[in-house]
Amino acid sequence: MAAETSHLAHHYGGMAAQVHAARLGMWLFLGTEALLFGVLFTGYSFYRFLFASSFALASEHLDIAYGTINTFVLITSSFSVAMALHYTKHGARRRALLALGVTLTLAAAFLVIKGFEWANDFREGIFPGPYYTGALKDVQGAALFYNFYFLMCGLHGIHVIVGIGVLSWMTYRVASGYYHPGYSTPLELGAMYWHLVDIIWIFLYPFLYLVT
Amino acid sequence: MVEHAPAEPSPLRYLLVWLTLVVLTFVTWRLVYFDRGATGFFLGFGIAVAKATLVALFFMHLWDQRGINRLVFVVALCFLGILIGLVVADAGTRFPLAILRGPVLAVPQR
Repeated sequence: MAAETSHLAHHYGGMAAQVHAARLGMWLFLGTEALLFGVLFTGYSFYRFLFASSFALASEHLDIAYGTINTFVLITSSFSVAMALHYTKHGARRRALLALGVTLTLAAAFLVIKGFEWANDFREGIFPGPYYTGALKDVQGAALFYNFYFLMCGLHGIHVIVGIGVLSWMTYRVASGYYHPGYSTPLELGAMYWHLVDIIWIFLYPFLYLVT
Repeated sequence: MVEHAPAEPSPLRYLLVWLTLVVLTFVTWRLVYFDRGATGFFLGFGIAVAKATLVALFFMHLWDQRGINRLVFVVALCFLGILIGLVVADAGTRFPLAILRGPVLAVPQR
């Protein structure tokens, strides 16, 4: 197939080997992403162990509704981006574009909901670091919990923004017919990045909103 | 060795995974939110692991891919487990006074 070989770099024996290498490279990158968030989870675990009751108390001051809605938003966006890749592989470009549109809308919705949540937190004096003036001002370790809350949500939010950028680019390329059933590897890798963003939130949800 | 292109899974599989994720999220919200016991943590964490595994296996296609790709991610998570496990074990086995837990300053003023 001419269309398939045009994307083949000369140092690969075939398209299958190139796709496999691309996937392996992406998994390596996602592994480093897991470790990047991992150090925050490590710090969180250490201080949650030391200040278990303070963390539980601080967590109760977060509004679980925002976190729960955002979990539904992200898992649905993960589903829609998986469908976008599926439709691209089957040559259904319009459906793929629709699925990507849904994904991008949900990704933006996630950030908007997060914005409302943080505005709500700020009104209650929940700020990171020494700026915390909330109800648990005198509880040792509570402000520490909010440090992790803002750091982890912030880093995750940056990943959501990067994901929106990547998926917008992918949408443009799908719309211009660059991907087709014979070649859709970059779209697959972009979708994998988005799924990782989803996975990280899956862990942030119980760790931030459901501390017992 | 040439990797054979895996058969593209049907959309039904994606739909089922999504529905399972929705149900598990709902279960997390109901169970853990109203059960504030020691089991709450393990329930919430266990369900999160199950959801993440579903996403990695089916949305990220690890189920259809060769061993090396699975190995890379699993190894990263294993090292993360070692890091978190040892750090928490360190905190758990310290001499109590060596841990700063509250507004108590252990250093005497001279």
